[in-house]
Amino acid sequence: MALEGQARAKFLCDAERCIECNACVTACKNEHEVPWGINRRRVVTIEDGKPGERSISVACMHCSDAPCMAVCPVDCFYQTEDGIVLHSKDLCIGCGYCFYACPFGAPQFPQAGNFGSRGKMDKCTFCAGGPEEDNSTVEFAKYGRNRIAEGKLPICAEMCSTKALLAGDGNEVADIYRQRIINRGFGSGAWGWGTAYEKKA
Amino acid sequence: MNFKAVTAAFLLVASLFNTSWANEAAPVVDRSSTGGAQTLQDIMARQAQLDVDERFRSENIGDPSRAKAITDQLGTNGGTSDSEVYRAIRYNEIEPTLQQRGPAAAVLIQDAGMPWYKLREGPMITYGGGALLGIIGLLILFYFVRGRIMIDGGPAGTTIERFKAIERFGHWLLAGSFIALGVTGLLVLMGRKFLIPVIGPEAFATLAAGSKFIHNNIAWAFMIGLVMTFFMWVAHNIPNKLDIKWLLAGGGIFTKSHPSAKKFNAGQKIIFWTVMIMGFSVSLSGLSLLFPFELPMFAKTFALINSVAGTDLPTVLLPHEEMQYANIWHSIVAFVMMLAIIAHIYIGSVGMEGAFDAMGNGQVDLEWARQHHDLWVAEVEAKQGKGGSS
Amino acid sequence: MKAMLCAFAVALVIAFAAPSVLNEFGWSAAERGSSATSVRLN
Repeated sequence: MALEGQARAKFLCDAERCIECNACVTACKNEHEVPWGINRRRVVTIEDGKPGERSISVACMHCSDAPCMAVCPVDCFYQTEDGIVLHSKDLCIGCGYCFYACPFGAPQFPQAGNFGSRGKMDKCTFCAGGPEEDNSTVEFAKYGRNRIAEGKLPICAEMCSTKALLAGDGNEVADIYRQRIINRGFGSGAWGWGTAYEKKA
Repeated sequence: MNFKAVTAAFLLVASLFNTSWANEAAPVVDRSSTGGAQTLQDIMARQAQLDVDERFRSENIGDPSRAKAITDQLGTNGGTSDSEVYRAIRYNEIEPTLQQRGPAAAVLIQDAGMPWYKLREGPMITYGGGALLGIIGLLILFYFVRGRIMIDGGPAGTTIERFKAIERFGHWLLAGSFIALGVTGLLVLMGRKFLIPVIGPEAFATLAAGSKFIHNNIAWAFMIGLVMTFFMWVAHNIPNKLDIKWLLAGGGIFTKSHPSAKKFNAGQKIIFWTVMIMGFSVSLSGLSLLFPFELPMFAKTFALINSVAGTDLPTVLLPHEEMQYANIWHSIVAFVMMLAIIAHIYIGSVGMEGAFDAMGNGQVDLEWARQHHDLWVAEVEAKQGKGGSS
Repeated sequence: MKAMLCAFAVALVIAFAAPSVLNEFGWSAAERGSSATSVRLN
């Protein structure tokens, strides 16, 4: 009851298209009623205001062999058959180790610091909820909306104003991006750009 | 007695002072065939856990000033190529701006998480746990070889006051806290591996949540106890020539002699300074862990070590790396302290007749005192002769 | 023996009092409502 066939859930943010509008961040926060100060998704801009400015929207990458899952002292993470990495807030003790292990800074904690007893870890769920029953009130209260169970895709990608953020079956996402690269053939998206256009010192 | 522990700590620390967790270097690779990209040889080296010099990638992040100008025929939109941007992201050579705030929000990729995890799950548990089992085994062996150290000729039956109530209180505040901290710390480190298969995830999660609460909050009692005992006893723990004689006699532990000592003998002084120095270090790293990202200390410490020892430790650390170092150092120091304290508990209870009374009710057998702390007894009796107290 | 039990008791008292004391200094786990420097809508 999720993505079709042998799909594995993946995000891809097309840095060429991202305009740093933060709609993805806002949509996610709204849809899941994410507590104050927590951002499951964030947009990072590089070379702000200069030629070559890029923005990337990043949340959880739902790694196949997730470091967060590996390091958790109470083993509260699990992976769905679509490759979505989720966790149980009932088992979570809020120690923060998943944050130290994650390459992308996906786990979030209430308050400015990381520590629980200040609260349980919260992170992007690929809009797939958690271990509670699908679309129940309890699931919503703890983990936010479960769109995957409704046959929908994550709201961040749905909301993206430029379709920079893609989410869904990894193969399809990669295919869309590939088409874009082929079609572009210009600017810094062009193949061999560095070789052709960069003056060697 | 503590040398084994110190050596173990030193070896662990020495392997820590290498940002790739002490792998050996990979052979040099010729990358001209791929135009500078990673080759099969690099991958094979990585698979073999060798240290690959990343600079061919981390320094290949482009330079906007080298791009053809926007106004040129077939010019560019400026900046660097996509691959160069992403390499810069990969090695965190970016200067990001973002709307969201947080101590580590600006870091897009940090790659120190997996080595940290592997160190915790592997050597930390194996060597740390092994050392704990080792010292217990050693003490059991010692007990059967040497036996309980008895008072020669039996106890006198009269006592002399060794520790006042406040001294005992300070010691037990420190000791009781330490045991609670050690046990809860071990639960969080090793529980997933050893306890979840036995009691299941729900029960363990409750236990771990409780352990975390106890550990984080009894830490304050530990620090207060540490300060108390330091000020109460530091004057009696200054090393002197008498300690060398005591150590050369091995404390009399095997020769069954009784080298002279004052209030604290050299063995006790070693314990005192071990606890003080390591207790201070474990407290600092603990505070850093308790208030994540607010007390980064490793970058500065490495810079200091570099200036003193001429080493080349990294002096710029990501927030995640600071926390990972704090976590690892905290564990290492804690293990070394546990080794020392287990031995200390042994000798203060089972290991020696008459020793526990010192902390139990403060009054020790006079003959025990004459045999193990003769000069201290003399001082006390001299003062009592003049009408003073110990 | 009395000193030992007293010390254990004090350790526990400190452990359970610590969160409240830290709360006063701003290092807290507790739910916080709006204050002079931050606004919350819950």
